Amino acid sequence: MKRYETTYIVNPNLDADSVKEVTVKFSDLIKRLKGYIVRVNEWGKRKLAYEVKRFDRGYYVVLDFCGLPGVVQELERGLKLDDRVLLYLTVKIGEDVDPKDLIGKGQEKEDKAEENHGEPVEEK
Amino acid sequence: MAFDNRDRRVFIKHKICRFCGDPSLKIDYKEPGTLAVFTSERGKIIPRRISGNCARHQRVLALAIKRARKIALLPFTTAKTKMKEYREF
Repeated sequence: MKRYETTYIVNPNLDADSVKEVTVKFSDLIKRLKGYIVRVNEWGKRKLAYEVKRFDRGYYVVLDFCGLPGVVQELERGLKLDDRVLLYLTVKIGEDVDPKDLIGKGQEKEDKAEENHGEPVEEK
Repeated sequence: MAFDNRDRRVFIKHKICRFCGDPSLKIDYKEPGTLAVFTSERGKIIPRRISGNCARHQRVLALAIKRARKIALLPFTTAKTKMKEYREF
């Protein structure tokens, strides 16, 4: 199994429930395809470096998961078709990982990660 | 003049790769703050000869900057004024 990290940007005008719905939708998709979610890290609203589909801010979510390569294909297809998602990027961060080791570790990393990335942009 | 060239050489500072010098510095495409230091005002990647990075770290850094650009954490370019002009037409 390989470990991947998918960052995607959701339409910033959606309410909190809709954003959650998107997260749940894609984490379920990964689980359905026998993948394991290591952690879900929501950065919140941030200013985009350039306009995407006429939006200048976006809601960033990072999905850290393990799975077979087919999972990525399906996930990216889903993200592409979903109108609420503006952009996405998947990066491989580990080869031959055992999901059982990672699930415990994910929690520790989450605390650290929040310190680094928790810089939501204030609404103007 | 010949003397000028010789004088100039004295002031060339030996640059050390910042990432080699400080192992706690990590290159991650999710941290636009660190990456932005190595881009010019226009958003271009600063060459190794100026930033002083070693070949290995420059390679990793370039990849991280390109990834960050893809998810709108860093700009591809900053010709904003130009873009707006085009839009008005």
